[in-house]
Amino acid sequence: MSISKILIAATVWIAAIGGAYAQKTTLNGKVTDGATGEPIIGATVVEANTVNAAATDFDGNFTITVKNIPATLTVDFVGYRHQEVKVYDPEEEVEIYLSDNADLLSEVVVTGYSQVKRSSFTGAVNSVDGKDLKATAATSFTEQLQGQSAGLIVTGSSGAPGSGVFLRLRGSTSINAGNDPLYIIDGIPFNSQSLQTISIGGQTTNPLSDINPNDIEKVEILKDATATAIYGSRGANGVILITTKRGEKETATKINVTAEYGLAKAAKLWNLATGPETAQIINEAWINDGKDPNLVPYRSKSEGGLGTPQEQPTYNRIDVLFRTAKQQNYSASISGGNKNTTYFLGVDFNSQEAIVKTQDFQRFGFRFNLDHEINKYVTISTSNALSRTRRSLSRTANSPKGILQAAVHQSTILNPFNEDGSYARYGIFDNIYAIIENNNHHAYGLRDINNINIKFKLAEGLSFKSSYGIDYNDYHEKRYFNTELADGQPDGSATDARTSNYTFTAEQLLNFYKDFTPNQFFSAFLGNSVQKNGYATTTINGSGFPSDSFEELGAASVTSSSTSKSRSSLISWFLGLNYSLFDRYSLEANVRADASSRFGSNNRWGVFPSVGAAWVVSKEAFAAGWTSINALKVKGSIGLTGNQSIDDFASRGLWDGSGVYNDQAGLLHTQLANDDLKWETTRQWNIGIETGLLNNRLSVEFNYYNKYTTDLLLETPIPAKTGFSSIYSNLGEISNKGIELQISSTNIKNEDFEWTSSFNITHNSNKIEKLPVAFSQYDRDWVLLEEGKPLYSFWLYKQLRVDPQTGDAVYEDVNHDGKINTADRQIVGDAWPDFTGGLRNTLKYKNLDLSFLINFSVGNDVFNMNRFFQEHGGVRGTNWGLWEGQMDRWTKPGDITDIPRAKTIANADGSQNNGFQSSRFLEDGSFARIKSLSLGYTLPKNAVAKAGFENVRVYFNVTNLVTWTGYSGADPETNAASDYSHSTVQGLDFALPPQPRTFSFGISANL
Amino acid sequence: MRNTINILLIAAALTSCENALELEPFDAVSDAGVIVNEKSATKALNGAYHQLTTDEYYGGRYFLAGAYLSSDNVTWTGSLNYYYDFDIHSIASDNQLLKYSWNGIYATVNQANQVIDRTNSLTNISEESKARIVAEATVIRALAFFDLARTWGNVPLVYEATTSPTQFDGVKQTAQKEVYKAIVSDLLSVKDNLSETSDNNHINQSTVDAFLARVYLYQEEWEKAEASATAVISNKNYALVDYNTFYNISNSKESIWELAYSAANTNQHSQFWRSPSDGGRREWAPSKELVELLSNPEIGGTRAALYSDISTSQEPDKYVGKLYHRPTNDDPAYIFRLAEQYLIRAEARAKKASPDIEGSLADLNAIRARAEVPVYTTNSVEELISAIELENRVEFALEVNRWYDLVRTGKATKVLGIPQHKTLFPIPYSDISADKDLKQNEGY
Repeated sequence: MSISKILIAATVWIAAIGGAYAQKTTLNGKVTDGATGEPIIGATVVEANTVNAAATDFDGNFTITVKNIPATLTVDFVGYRHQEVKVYDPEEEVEIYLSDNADLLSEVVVTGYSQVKRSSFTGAVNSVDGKDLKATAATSFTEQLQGQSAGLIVTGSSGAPGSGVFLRLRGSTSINAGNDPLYIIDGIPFNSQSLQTISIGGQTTNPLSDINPNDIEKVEILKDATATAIYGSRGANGVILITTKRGEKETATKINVTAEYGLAKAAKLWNLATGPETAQIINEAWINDGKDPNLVPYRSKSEGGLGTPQEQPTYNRIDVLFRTAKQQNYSASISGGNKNTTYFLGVDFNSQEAIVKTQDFQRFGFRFNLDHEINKYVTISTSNALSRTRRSLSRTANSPKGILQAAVHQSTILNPFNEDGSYARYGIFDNIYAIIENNNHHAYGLRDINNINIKFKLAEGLSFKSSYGIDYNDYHEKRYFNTELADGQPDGSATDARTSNYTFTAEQLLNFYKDFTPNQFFSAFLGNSVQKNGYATTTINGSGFPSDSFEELGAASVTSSSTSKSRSSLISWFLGLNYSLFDRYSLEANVRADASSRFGSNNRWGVFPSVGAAWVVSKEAFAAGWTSINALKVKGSIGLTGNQSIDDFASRGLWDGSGVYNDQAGLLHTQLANDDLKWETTRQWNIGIETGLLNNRLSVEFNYYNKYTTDLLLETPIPAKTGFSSIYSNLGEISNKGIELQISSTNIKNEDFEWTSSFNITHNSNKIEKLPVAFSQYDRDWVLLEEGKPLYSFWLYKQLRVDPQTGDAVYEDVNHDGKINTADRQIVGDAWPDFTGGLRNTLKYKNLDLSFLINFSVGNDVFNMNRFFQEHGGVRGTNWGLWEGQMDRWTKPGDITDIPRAKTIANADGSQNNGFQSSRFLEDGSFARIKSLSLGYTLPKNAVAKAGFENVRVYFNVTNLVTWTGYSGADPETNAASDYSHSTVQGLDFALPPQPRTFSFGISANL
Repeated sequence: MRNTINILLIAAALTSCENALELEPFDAVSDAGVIVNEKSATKALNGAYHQLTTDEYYGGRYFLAGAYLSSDNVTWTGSLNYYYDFDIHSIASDNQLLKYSWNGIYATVNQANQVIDRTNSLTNISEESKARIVAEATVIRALAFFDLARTWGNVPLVYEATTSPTQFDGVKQTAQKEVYKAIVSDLLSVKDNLSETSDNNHINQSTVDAFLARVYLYQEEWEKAEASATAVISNKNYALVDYNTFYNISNSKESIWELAYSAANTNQHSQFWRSPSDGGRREWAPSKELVELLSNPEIGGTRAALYSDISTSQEPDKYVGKLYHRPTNDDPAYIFRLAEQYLIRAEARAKKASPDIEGSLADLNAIRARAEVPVYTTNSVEELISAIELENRVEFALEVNRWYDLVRTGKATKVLGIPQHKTLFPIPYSDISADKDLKQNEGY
């Protein structure tokens, strides 16, 4: 007996239990697929508002005993649209047709410009429902997508709300030309580049936080060539389509109000060595450096020392900085529609404090979507969103005067206050109390997205759509250092920066389809798009304020300013054809030609074709007898996509006005010309299988993809004697190969209880296939780009062991020359996970609902910079604190440890025990975490109806409840280099707040 | 259908035209036609001066720091290990300071070459102006070559404006001695085209004399060094001023050439010297050994003002260098100052075939007198040379001279206890990979 039969039997049994107590009117009926007329097996038929239920048998027939006549029957089946029918006559056989629209393979799939049946769709697309995003406390949907789609890697970079997120779809295809997917919101390309200009150490902003996640109806993730190639120029890194909520025709006004309040706290922080421990290490380093053991710095005061180690105090700064953060989110929407017009109006207010003092995020958002049918032939639609964000910011990551370094990296031995009570400062650090009390850095974002389109129905199957949209983004940063801060010396200093970006898009689209029923379907589209982008920034710096009471730059005695402005444009033509035969065989072909202002006139145009084919095996005659396989589709596609995400004038030889000397204007040669610069091109092929099993209760999609990028737009290193260290040229090749598996299942579904699961797992293998010159990235050259290795590879000295006799670190001498120098650095690991994925379970029992999402990342390496700095063994002197782990260092012959003895001088082979780019700080950053957990209760309808509510749900959400990891830092999901050029550095854990654990309580009411 | 096509064509015409793709940058101008007359040539020359002022070069943070941290005058007290590696003479070729300095100096070479080639091809400019602009750029290029050679030894020399990344393929390193010769020849060929006098921020004929005196000293051409130094010292435009004055005010008479900074082009150097309480990061500081010399009234005299003592009971021997000290970030960078000419001449007079002890002592004592330290006398040439060496050490306590003097005179190995090969820095790894013509220095 197959599993499907067991399931059907179980369903029937459960239904039968439900029916045992019912009254005696019996209805007979049949459920069939509205399109094919074939019977639907295992559909659930329920009499509304009762416990009476039944399931259809192998011929689609059912028998149900009902309480009332006329009876309202609801019919559900996985993959089909929910159906309600009223039965007046118990004698007549009830015929119920389920709409094929929601059939797994008949679902309409949007590929940007065309709409085709899923069965004839040849590409790889994942769809995430807006409601599956909500359980994760975050400022943007990007964090909420984590773990929810195969092929998608999402990594948070900082625990601060509204900060940047690393997101990659099917790997990274480029080095210097951008790897972010293209975001399209209601048809308009959305700028996903942060407009932050004041560096705060590596933490950057996430522009997608400008979008209210509550407005999102669904997110579609376009991955393969046929799905993305139609976005030609920017499709190489995948496309993420966001559809916002709209009203429904002929529905009464719906009002939804949601309020949520939460508290967030760090789940794990760092443990530092105490004062006495620190003093002991400093003394050890002194002795191991060969200095006089009688004169160690920490010896008794009577001998002229600083006091013995045991006498040293310990000051905790970490607890001063971290807090329990409050988070609030309120949103309301009104939607509805009549015969001709639908509307959606939404507002939201979101306020999130960071778990570190000095940072927070607020957003006020407004949305208005409207569709109106002027007449039978003309429809006009508009989507509009306006949002205002306000951030309190402070420096983190690579900024010694920032909060994290001041709190975490400063030695615990140092008293934060001088004897007179004033703030004490040590070395490069600022005082943590001074920063918390005086930090004054705010940023105000304004985002306006407007889209209007008009659609003409010209003939049956032929339509023309003209769309115009603008995405305007303004970011205003204000930072003031008063005289209590190190950077405010001597009389205060301030920066005021204003940056704006706009993208204007105009698009014309001709769409045609012809349904040669019953056997053939043909669709085509032809379009043109023009996109213009502009960017401008103005920065004013000032210093010398009369007193701390003045913070506007007008009061500064010295000011200087700088401005920058740029623009680009893109013109495109595109054509798409889709043909399907017998609903079984489909062919799809697209081509897009793009011209970009960023390239010289000879190489301006790029042409990006793609073809795909699909075969719905399960609709073949021979599959008619299949019982456990309900749907089976095999698909494949191949095509090209392009990338032009480089500086607007990257191909030009440039001189700018930065060569100022002695207050006289000066011209400076800043860029060497490359007239031959052209499109970076990615070839991708994809093969996949989609199946629906066990009466479509289990659906499985498997894809294999292979991407190969050529003509990389690379800032190629060139000989320094030219006066330039690099030039943009088309050099190098990168490959990404991967497998994706996505499974969703309805484990149990009956009247009272429903349990569904979805699981996805992705493996991506990235490799630089060709690179003429290896070159390094970031300070200290942590990352090396080298042929044959993946991107984000760490370039380190490989520490083999700590010599148990000497206590010195032993590094691998790669070239066996007896010396440890640059030639011995090697790629030890990389930040790529071997696997990422997620598992979501949703359970509903009567009015209770529970869902949780576990996401995981396996095999990604993280370079623990905090350890690098703080397992310093005395190299960084007394101002730098030590990790607790430092105490595991080697102390006497025979000790087995990987932490060498405290010592600041070089070893005989030229290496250093401490402060060296050692592989000992590279750790496995694998983790799994319960990303979100949501428990909700929907109040009984009749209870809330009295108060005038249609539906009220109260819920409790937890984000990052548990994290399982072997990583020694506070959070493996971090990156201090998010603002580093082209994001070529990943997995650097350096002085950033961890992802918080958030508990929130909310109520959502529909009126 | 025809309507459809019409609509599409109209809409397309409205929104699409090739002109939209012909964009010019706002912030910069395209290569061609940037230097078209005397005015634009002068602006490009300013750009060449600007290149000298950058962080990578005389802005101090990279090039200068590498040199003085390598000496025994300055010690690392900060957090950036790539500086520490210079202090302990454990410099790997991937040290980022090397890369930034090396690239920054070659960027200066190219800017100078651009000015030279493009100005030479102008026809709407007086021959005199053309010659002067070219001469100033040539001296800037010579300074870049000099700093490359004294730091890295054998280095590639390029004499043409760069137009393509492969243009200098095949240009190999020139031996250090040959580089010095080439510099002398360049300097002599353009000297007469320069103004006789100028402000202290620009190059004139005396700048070239001061430069020649230094190159001759490195070449151990004592007579020539003496003659060139004399030419500068006898120029009444320059004078030794009170020691504190030369670095507390800009453009004192002491400066033969100092690079100017202002709010529009700041000098980040002092941030690395200043103490945290002054908003700096005190990445390095005068060494204890140097402080002992400066604080000795018989040796340092008024030069003791070059440091301040911020030691506490908890942190003994803690000093802050005061040469670069302005919170306004407009400390000048000193390229040639008169004191150096006195000491060059003193050394040349002591070392030439027939030593002029009296003349040498007079020069030495001029510097000592200015620092208010007692007159020094001796009859021994050897003692005199040692005295000049020590004088150089304290007079240029926080400048780069100490390191290069130790290397030049072959004393670095003994004084600093380093092997010979470490008297030259390694050529940056990044360029060794990018430039197939380069050969790494011995020992790295």
